[in-house]
Amino acid sequence: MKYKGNSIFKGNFFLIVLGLIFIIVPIFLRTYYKSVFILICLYALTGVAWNFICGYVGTISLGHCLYMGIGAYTSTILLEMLGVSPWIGMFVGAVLATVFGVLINWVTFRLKGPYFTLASIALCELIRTFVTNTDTIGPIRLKGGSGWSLTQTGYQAGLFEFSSKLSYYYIIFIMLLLALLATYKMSKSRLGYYLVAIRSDDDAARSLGVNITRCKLIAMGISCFMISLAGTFYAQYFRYIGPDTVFSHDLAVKIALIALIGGQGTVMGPVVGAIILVPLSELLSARFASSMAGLDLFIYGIVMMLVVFFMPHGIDEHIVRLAQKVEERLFSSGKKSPASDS
Amino acid sequence: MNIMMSVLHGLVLGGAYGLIALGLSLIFGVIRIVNFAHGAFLATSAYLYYVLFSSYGVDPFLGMILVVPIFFISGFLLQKVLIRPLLLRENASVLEPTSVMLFTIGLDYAMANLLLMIFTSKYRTVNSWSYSNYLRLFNATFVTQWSRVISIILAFVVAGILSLIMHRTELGKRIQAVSQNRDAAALCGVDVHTTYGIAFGLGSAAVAIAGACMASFYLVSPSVGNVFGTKSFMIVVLGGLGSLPGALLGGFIFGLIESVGAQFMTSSMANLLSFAVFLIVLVVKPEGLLGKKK
Repeated sequence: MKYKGNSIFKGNFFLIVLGLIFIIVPIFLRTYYKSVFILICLYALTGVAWNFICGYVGTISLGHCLYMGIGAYTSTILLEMLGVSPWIGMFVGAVLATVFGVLINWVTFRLKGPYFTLASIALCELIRTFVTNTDTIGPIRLKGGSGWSLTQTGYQAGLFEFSSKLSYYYIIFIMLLLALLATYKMSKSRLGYYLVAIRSDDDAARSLGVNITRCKLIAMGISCFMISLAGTFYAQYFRYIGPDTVFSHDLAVKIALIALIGGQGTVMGPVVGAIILVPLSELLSARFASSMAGLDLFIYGIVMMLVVFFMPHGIDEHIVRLAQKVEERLFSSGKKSPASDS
Repeated sequence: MNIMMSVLHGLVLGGAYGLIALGLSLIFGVIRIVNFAHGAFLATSAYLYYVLFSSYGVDPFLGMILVVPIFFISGFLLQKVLIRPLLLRENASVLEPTSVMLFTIGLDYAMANLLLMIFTSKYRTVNSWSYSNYLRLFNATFVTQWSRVISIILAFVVAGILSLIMHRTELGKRIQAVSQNRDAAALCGVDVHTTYGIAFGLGSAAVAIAGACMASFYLVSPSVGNVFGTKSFMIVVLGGLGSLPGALLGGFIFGLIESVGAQFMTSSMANLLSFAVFLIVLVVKPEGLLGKKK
């Protein structure tokens, strides 16, 4: 954000307001609206993770839920078979997803543009088909197409099960904040500048001595780590995972669209995308779900087309500009008045 | 003997896959527009045939007379009205612009879910003559729907016609010129966007022909777009970008893998094999089996 005003908040006024709204407002809401806030944060987190590699480098992955699924499955299997707490399992899953993501993409990063996208779709479909048709690998139970329903633990916080929605909400909110902080740090670091250089012209970046594959793999690793944490949260919150939920093509596209609509390659873009799209689709599908299945994804599609057409850099950019104007109005008068008094 | 039969079945299935991929081969392979809405086009045409059949009793293969021109015109208009402004923003030598890809992803979702809203997710069948009558060969050890036989024949016919257009006509030369560099083609006096529009229209018309076949041998549901759309992309890349015979070859390979693979494992597990083959070819030989090296 390039803000040159004099306000004490240095251009972050609306960010702070937004943060406060997200901290305070859900306390007073009905359970249903709390769950909408949880979904906003969950999808924002997946979007932030997607954006970390795909947004900054400009390679569109439509199979990112693969790593989310790996996280969800790892922590769930550890919990159900060995009784390992998801608090530990989520990091085991994250490490596994990171290793898997780095190894796989070490190969697929040779592909450019739509070929990378197709490879990501094929990979995700491959794993989904494999999990759907596999009940056990050696001692590990995958449960095939029926998926895992998590057993009730009686609301033990140590096992990631809470009686109130608010606890889930603050956990996912903190996870989102950490992911945003990581993205912000990355965007200001050498890695961030390298990634943006790769996006604008990878040959030029290579000729200037940027190790493209290494940079992309580091970003991909961090992205996989973040999204697999979201996967564990998904499993614990919905208490059901199956190949058709966590490995589904629809989920993968949804994650990508949230980041793309919000604004790829920006810190807050995916959050903006989630704040706009998730409540819209939730409220609409809650109202029309019985009569019109598919309405929410229909809207995602329409919004995506409009954004590509009219706001190629995402909605975030426009909102930031608007917010800065409003902020200037609000605070510049406050600064000027003491000067005119004296 | 079983293997022989599954090879035959695989070839029949592969012909249909090839036919479905042909339209995309022209749009993605030749003019390099990443049309992720291919699957939604296919599903839309299948529903048009379904409506024609269930309301007016029109056989899908007869309905082509109506639906194929509609698809040609809509493809032409889509390109002229919606994709043209996106292309104008891009550098002329950029192949496969990302903005167009994102636009068609949105279009795909909008169309597929509109179908879901109108027709619900119920599976429907077009119970036409070619759906419910069978070709029996080798003392009825090999039995297949007539619609599948027709789709193999149509696959070769459509591939032949498109190849003729591409290699023997002025239009084909223009299409190849704009696919290489839009500005250079315009300097040579080619009306770039009309050429793009015609190519897109031809591709969409080919999809409508494939839709008639698919509606008469498969189920009609909003999800068919997803199933066949993704596979079509893989078939086009597998066969080689820009190669129409490659699309047919890729289709046959996919059909054979799935059909022969189903002898050794469940048929949905055999799907996994075709994804794996696609990924291996993509990494080892990115230009595809019949594609020219860049």
